This record gives sequence, C-alpha cells and structure tokens, in this order.
Amino acid sequence: MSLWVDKYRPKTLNKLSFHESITKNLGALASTGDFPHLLVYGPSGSGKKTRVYATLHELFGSQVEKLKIDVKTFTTSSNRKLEFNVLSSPYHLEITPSDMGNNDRVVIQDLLKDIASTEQVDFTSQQKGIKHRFKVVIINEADSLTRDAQAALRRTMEKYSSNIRLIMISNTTSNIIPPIKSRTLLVRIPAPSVSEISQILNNVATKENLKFSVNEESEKLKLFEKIAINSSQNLRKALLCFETVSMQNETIQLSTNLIDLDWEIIIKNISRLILTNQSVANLSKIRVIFYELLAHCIPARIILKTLLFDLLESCESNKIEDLVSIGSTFDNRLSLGSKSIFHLEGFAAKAMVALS
Amino acid sequence: MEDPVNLNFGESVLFNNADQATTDLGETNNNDMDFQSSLLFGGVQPQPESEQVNDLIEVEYGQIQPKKVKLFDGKVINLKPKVRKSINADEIKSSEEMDLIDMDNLFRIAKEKQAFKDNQEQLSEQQTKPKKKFKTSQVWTEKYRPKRFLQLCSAGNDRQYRMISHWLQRWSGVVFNTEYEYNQLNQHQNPHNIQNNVDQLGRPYRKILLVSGPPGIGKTTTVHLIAKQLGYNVEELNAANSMDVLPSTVNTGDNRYGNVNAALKLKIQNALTSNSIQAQGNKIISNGKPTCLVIDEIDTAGNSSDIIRVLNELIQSDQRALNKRGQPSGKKSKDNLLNRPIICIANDAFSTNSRTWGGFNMDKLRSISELISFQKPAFIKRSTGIKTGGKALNSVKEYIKDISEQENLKLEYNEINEIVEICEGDIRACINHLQFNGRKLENYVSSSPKINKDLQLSWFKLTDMLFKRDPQLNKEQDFDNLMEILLSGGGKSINSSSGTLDKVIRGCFNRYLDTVYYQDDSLVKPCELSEWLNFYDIIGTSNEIPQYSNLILLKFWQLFSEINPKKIVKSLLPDIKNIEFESNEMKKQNKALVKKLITNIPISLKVSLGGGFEDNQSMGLFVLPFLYKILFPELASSGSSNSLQVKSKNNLNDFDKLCLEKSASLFKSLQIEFETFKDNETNQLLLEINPNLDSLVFYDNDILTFNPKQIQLKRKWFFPMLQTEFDRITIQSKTVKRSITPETKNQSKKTKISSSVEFFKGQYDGISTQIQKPKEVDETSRIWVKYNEGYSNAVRKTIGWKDLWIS
Repeated sequence: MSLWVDKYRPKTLNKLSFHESITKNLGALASTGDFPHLLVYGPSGSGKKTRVYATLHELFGSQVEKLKIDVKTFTTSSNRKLEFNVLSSPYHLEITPSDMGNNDRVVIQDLLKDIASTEQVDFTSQQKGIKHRFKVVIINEADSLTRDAQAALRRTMEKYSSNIRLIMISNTTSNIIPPIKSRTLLVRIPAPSVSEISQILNNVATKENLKFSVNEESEKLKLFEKIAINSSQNLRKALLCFETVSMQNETIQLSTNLIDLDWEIIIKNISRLILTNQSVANLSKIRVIFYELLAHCIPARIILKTLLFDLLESCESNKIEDLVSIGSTFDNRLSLGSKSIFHLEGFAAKAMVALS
Repeated sequence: MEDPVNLNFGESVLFNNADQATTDLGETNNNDMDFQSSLLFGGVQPQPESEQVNDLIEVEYGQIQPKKVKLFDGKVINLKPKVRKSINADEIKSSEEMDLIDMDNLFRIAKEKQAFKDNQEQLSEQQTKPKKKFKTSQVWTEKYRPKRFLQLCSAGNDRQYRMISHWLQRWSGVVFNTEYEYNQLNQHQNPHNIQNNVDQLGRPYRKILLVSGPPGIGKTTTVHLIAKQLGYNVEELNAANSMDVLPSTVNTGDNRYGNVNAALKLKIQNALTSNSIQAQGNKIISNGKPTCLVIDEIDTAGNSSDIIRVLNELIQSDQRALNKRGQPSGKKSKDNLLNRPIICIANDAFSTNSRTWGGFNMDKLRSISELISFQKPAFIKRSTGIKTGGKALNSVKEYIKDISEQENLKLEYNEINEIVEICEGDIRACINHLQFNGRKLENYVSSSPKINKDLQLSWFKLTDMLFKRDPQLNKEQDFDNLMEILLSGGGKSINSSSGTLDKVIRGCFNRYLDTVYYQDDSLVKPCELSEWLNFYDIIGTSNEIPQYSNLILLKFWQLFSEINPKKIVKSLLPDIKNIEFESNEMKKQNKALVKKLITNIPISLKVSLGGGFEDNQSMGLFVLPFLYKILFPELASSGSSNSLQVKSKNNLNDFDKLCLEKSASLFKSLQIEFETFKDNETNQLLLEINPNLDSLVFYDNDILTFNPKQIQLKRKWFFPMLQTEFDRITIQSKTVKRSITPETKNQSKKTKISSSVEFFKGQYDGISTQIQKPKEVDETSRIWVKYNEGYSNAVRKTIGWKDLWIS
C-alpha cells in the first residue's frame, strides 16, 4: 500500500486532469516523436514532473516507468571521489544537482558527455519511421545549478543535441541564465486552481469509498476547497493533508479542523508577537523561535514568506505596502546571503518598526 | 720576583719594547689570559729572572747570539728576511734557529684567541640560558599526556570515561576468562540479555565502540589509557598507517585495490587474534597482553570506507559464528567469533564527508557500534554575569595550572582563564598555547600593557572593546583608536582569518539585544544594524573584498558602545552561546535523517514526493509531519483512555483495523523499524522508531510543547499491535503464495499484465505486421508472464510460437 500521492498519480497524458491546453501541447509535441530542450517551471505541487513523465510515457511507452537507481562516481578537480545517485530508465535519467554541491559543473559535463557519446538503440518505433536516437536527461531543481554548471550546459546543449534532450524542472526561472532560457522551450505550469484541486480530492474520495457525515456534493466540495486553500494550492500537500484527515475519523466530519502543521502554528504566533508588542524583549524571544524553526529544516525563505503573509492578514491596510516592501528586500537578502538568522531578525525588527 | 701579571714568564715571554709591552700586558691582564697555553716560545731558553726588570724585559737568545731585534717603537734593526709573516705558536717552537720573533703577530694571535674564547663563552651562554628555563626536548602535549587514569582531566567527560571503561570491562569475560562463569549463569536465565547490553558470551551487545567528539579533548588519550589499565595492549590504526600495504608476500593479485583491501583485512584480523610480544634479552616472549584495536580518525582516514567494510564483515561473521555456536560443526567454518574489543575514534559521528554505495560510511558504522560522544567543556554564564566555566571548564583550568606550575611559568589564574577561553576548551590547544606562548605571557605580566598592544587580541576581548567607550577621549578620537586597532593593531589578526571575525560578529550579535534593552529599548538600532549585517553577509559570501568586512565592527561600536557598559545580569536570551550551535547541530542531524529516510523510500513514491534525493525541502515542510500522523493514527476505539491494558486487533473496530493495516504496510515500505532504546541517564527503556522522526516533527517551545511521555505511552500499546500486524502480513503473503489456484492467480496478476503485454506488443509488431495484436490474443488464450524487475532475465516464460501467431 502506498500513499495517495503515489497511488493516484496519473501516468499518462490523457489521465491528467487540469491544465488541458498544456497537456494537449505536450501531447502534440510527443506525437512528433521529437522535442526541443524543455524548461518546465512552476510552483511546487503543480504537477510539473507528473507531466514530464507522462510526456515521456507517451514518447517511449511504459518502459520509462521501470526506474532504478544507479550510483555514479566522478573524480572532482581536487581528486576527490564523488558519488551520487541517478534515477534512470532505459530512455532517460534524472539528476538533482543539489546532491553534488559545488561540484555540479564537473558532474554535469562528465555525465552529459558520457551519455552523448553513446547512441540510443531503439527498436520500438522503427516501424513508425521515427527513431528515438536520443536519451532524455531530467534535471531537477535546475534553479539550484551554479552559474558554472549552467555555463557548462550552454555548449553541451547544442553540441550533443542529436543524442540528448534536456528537461529542466525548476520553481522559478530567475536563477537561470538567459542563454539557457533561449535554448529551451519554456513551459510554465501554474498551480492548479482551488476548484481543480477539490475536484481531484473528490475523485480520490469516491475511489477510496470515504464516508462523510453529509452526502451532498456541494457540502463536500466546501471541505475540499478548505483543504486546497489551506495547502496553498499545492496538490501534493493537499493530498497528504486529505489523507491524514481521512485517517483521523471513519466518517469525515465536514466541520473537522484541518490539521495545521506545527511550524505554521509557530509562525502564526510570531506574527502575533510582532503585532501586539514591539519591543526588544520580544525580538529576542522571536530569535529563539527562529533558531528552532531553522533547526527543523524549515527553509528561511519559507519562514519569511509565511510570516509576511500572516502579518498581512491581520495588520491595518495602510501598513501593507510597507510590510511587503520590507519583506521583498529581506527575501532578496536571504537568497543572496548565507546567514539567514541575521536577515530573519532584521525583518522582524523592521516589521516591528513599521507597525509601531 | 712576583709579577702582578698572571703571565708565566718562566716560559720567557719576550718584550722588547717597554711601552708597548706595558699597554699590551695591561690589556691581557684584564682579560685574564693564559699565555702558557696560548703562546709558546719555542727554543727560547729560560733566562734568569733577574734579567727581567719590572716592565722592561730584555731577553737574550741563548746560544743564538745577538741577532737583530725588531723593536716595537718602530726602529728596525737589521730585519731578517727569514721572518715569516704568519707565525703560529707551533712554528715558532719548531724553528729553533728562529732568531726573530714577530711580536706583532704574537699579539694578534693572542687577541684573536681571546676574542674567539670570548665569543665562545657568549655563545655558550646564549645556548645554556634558555635551556635553564625551558628544558624541552618534548612537545608539552606529549610530555603532559596523562599516564594514569587518575591523571585524566575530567573536562566534563567523566561519565564518558566510565562508559568506555564499563564497555571494555564487559569484554574481559571473553578476553581474560575471568567472569565467564558468572556470565554463563546469566545466559541460562535470559539468553538475550539486552537489558545489560550483553550478549550470550558476556560481550557487549554492540561489538564496536565509537567514540566521537571535538578535537583536543582527549579521546585518543582516554581510550589508550583505559585500555592499558585494563590490561590490553593497544594496537593503533589511524589515518596515517591504515593505508600501508603489507609486504609483497601477501600480494594476492595484480589488482591493487584488492590487495590493499586484503592487506587491511589481514592487518585488522592480525591485530585481533594475536597477543603482543616483547623482546627481553635475547628471547622474545609474549607479555600475555591481549590486543585492543583502536582505529583512530576513522572519519577522515582516506580508506575509511574500506575499514568500515572490513569491520562490518567482522561483525557479520561474528554473528554467524554466534548463531552456529552450540551446534556441532562438521567442517571448519570460516566465521570466527570476535574476541577482542574494537574501538573507533572519530571527530564527527555524523560525518557526511565520505560516502560509498548506498549511504554514508559513518551511518554504516553507527549502526553496528555503541556510541559515546565526548563533550567540549562549555562556558556557562553565571547569574552574577561573570563568565565562568562550569565544573568541566574548571577542571581544565586546574590541569593547565598544574602544568604551568611544573614548568614554572607563574601564570595568574586569569591568564589561564584567558588561554582556556581562547582555545575554547580544547585541552591540546591550551597546552600548545602554553608552551609556545609561555615566555610571552611572562613578559605580559611584568611589562606595561601598551608595549604589548600588538599581541593577539582574543575575539571576546575585542567584542568587549566594541561595547565600551573610553571616557577620556572624545568620540572621534576613540573611533580613530578603534579603527587603528582593527586595521593594523591587535584586531588585525582577527580580521585576517574570517573564522575569528565571524566569531566576533556572532558575539556582538548575541549581545546587542541586551545592550539595546538597557539603553533605550527602541527598535531603531536593530533595524540599522540589520542593514550592516546584510552588508557583512554579502561581502563575506562574495569572497572578493574581505578587507572591508571588519568595518562592520565599527558600526557595532558606534551603535552600542557605552562608557560604562552594564554587566548583563540576566540575558534576554537563555543560553545564548549555545543556541546557535545547537540549532546548527540539530539541523545537520535532521538533514541526515531526511536523507536516510529518502534513500529507503520506494522509487515510485520518491518520484511522487518530488524529485530531490537528498535536499528535499518539502520533506521537512509538510511531507514528514503528515506522514508521521498517518504512521501513528489516532485509533478511535482504543479511545482516549491511554491506559496500558493489553489491546489486540480484535478490540478495534473496522475502520481502526484499516488504519492499522495501512500504517503497518507503510512502516514496511518505508523501512522504518522500531527499536527499544535504553536511556543511560534515566535508565528507562524508550521506544523509538528508526530513523527517528521525533526530532524533526516535534517542536518544544512556549507555543507548542513536546510531551515525550505521552508519546511513549502511546507507543507502548501501539508498537505490539503493529508487530502482530507485521507478522500477519508476512504469514499472509506466504500462504497466498502457496495456495495459488489458477483462478486467484488470474485475478492477482491481471493488473500487471497490461504493461507487460504492451512491452511485447512493441517488440513484435515492429518485426512483422502480420502479428495479431496481443490484446486480442489476450482474449483467446492468455499468456502469463512473470516479470522480474531489474534482472537480465527479466522475462522468463516459455511461449510457443503458437501462442503468438494464433489468429
């Protein structure tokens, strides 16, 4: 038995439920048997990778689902051995550059050259007249590639284009250098709308034979919408949340409180602290909490973002502009710098000043 | 007559010129020169003393009758061409017929010799002088390495010392056969005596001890000492010698890698099976001491993966041998019982430096070894505001003081305090510091502080300076002073290495809130500071213009300095010094946890949970918290009563049964295990899951509190239920396999087929268009294919052509 996230994951293009036009385009792309390098971007939980895999499925058939993990070794320039995992099928492989830290340039060069030097042998579609001579390389979190690695990609993308197709997946395009953007087909996958998510949740509910206290569809949809909003339109989070809710009670009460994640509650409390009492003592209290959140692997930018939105929710309307501008400044600093606690505290202090 | 000069005129020193001789004699006299040895006038007959009249000395040359004599006043009387320019004493002696003596030369030689002698005396003085005070042929860290257990500096690690010695003592049953009987008795009562962490043979449950801790607090020393005191002979393997290859006799193959590996294994096994021998006189006798293998620096050794692999093999073979024990063994088995203790030492038990196939080396080692971690003696802030170390730090200070007394360094207690603080409790660094700065510190006591301005400033001293303003100077002057110190004075050393600058900044950052709180309690200054901290952060990461980064310290001074900084009685932040360190440590630990979990997740689920293998944000954000709640469902029928009554599955209602089954299957597929863990402090048995998600999922602060007791209570009844569920699943799967009737087989396999069929479809319709679509074949006569994922013989099923060609 597996989690619903896995269980109800569509495997083919025609099973995908939302963003019809994108799906159609991808289908058309796949039907030609060839496609350019892709850069798929959009918020997490919007189905980027699901779409990519569905497209690959359309191209190569079910073989792409036969995934296995390979371990590749590389020697870095400092002669250190580096090993990392590559998820691969006969037709594609998937890498995550953040696994490799600062050595991603070497890895990407070596790996791509390695793949490019061998030509794919393809039986399946010979008869159709199309030969898949290329292998697909999926690069996860492409925005975390270092500049060096991206520069290394530039040339490789053109040089080995006969043997390799790249699909880069990222949340934003802001960290990707323009030459790469111009070499790829940009596909934006927006987050699914609330109604789309609730539709999906409804499907899952019927398939799982879940019991609800009320049987009217419209009432149920209200609950699903609540989940969708609560999970900030992240489908993955919504499904997990829904599964957890369903485990709590046999018949799901429509009035059930959704499960708030602990860190979200904590950040809510920080925002309350900032709003109610602007003092140094409070600032120090907040610092302790920030430390704890960071220790629990909550990324600093997410803390900042959640905190800002919590503040915006409950502050006076004339302060909103100030807060947003402060928030964006510190978001920039967080992404440039490395000592997140300085910036988080700076944000808290500035927000306090703005609010007092 | 008595001569005032110490010259021995008996050997007849010749002075022809009165004046010259006087002055010269005066000089030589002062220098207390010994002419007897240095100047020999060969062939000169001693003359009656009467002839030597006071200062004027007339010398007649015995038989060699009157030859010309060169006078000192410049009158040259019949200079003989035979005179040599360079005369040395021996030559004079040998040349009997020499009738002219070059007094010039003689005095020159005398002077030279005198100078030489003086020089030598000076030199030897220089050499002996320091020897008197710093008589060291040894580095002090070696010299003062504790020789006995009682000499060990506790440094807050007493408990760890005792744990090591307990662990080692448990081996003595096997190694020395002393407590063997006692343990055997025990064994009959309960064969798996996990409570005492002892196995059937009385050995510790975990056969390897992993000692970890920061450098310089005496891990190696402690382990060596304890092992020696318990009668072991310590065989050390460290990063330096573990790479050695055994002599070419063991060259088993041309494969170099294999050779190294084999050599390593041989080496470890040799160490474990042999007793050490000693040479006494001509005979070599065994001293009867068993070996204790100590593997030092295991986390940094170049071939740590090999070492750990060998260790793993050893443990496995030991386990096999243990299981076979008692059974009559027909043939000699390869598996040997492990009967010598192995201790590994590492700085970081969670090191992720090196990794090999399927995980980090240290992870593999951790799983088979007992963990003991040494702590650094930490600074504690007393309520009085004075920074003092706890007991642990005091013991370090006492230790340093002992050394300083033995070396006669006469250090004040506050100086020792400073040394210890600079080195941050690293004992080895303290001793090094003491040895090499010992003399400097001596000056420090005696001389005024101004001279020593260019001495190294410690980072906390600088931090203090930044919060202080000199009342005698106006603001500009003071600012200039500080800038001077930062850019060229003592502060420079701090700025030159980014690590210390970081420490200063952190120190200031930790402190400024308190200062502001007492100053005006407004938030303007923190706001201003945040800009500068941003500047520091960005400059620091850019790595190009680091020389400007120290200017931020001036900003600290400008914002927060006071003429009379108050002692901070009660900080706003509890335990400020450690909070950051702890937060970082916990983050590391949690990240390692996520990695471990994520490697065990089945691939398809991994893909569904989002790409990243190791650095997946969403895992910590929401996946794991939700997952945890799914893994431990609130079972309604078990009710709110968390009583300890024995619950079984039968008591549950249908829905809860479902939940339980789901939870159990998830536990299985995620490879999460539960284990009992004995807390050494409270001596309680705790129920944990492995990997332990608790630290990631639970928060403990004012807002949300974490109640471990309740969780433990829940687990106490939940785990047994899960266990029975596990058993049920395994039994079920077995029985299902056995009792496959054709019909159930059809149903169970049907789902899989569609993909396999498609696979064949692709394979064959390319070859011939005549082939019917297998889907239709499916309807007429079914093909059952067994698909073994990941194997080369993935599809193995005899299919006749008939099956495929039937129309």
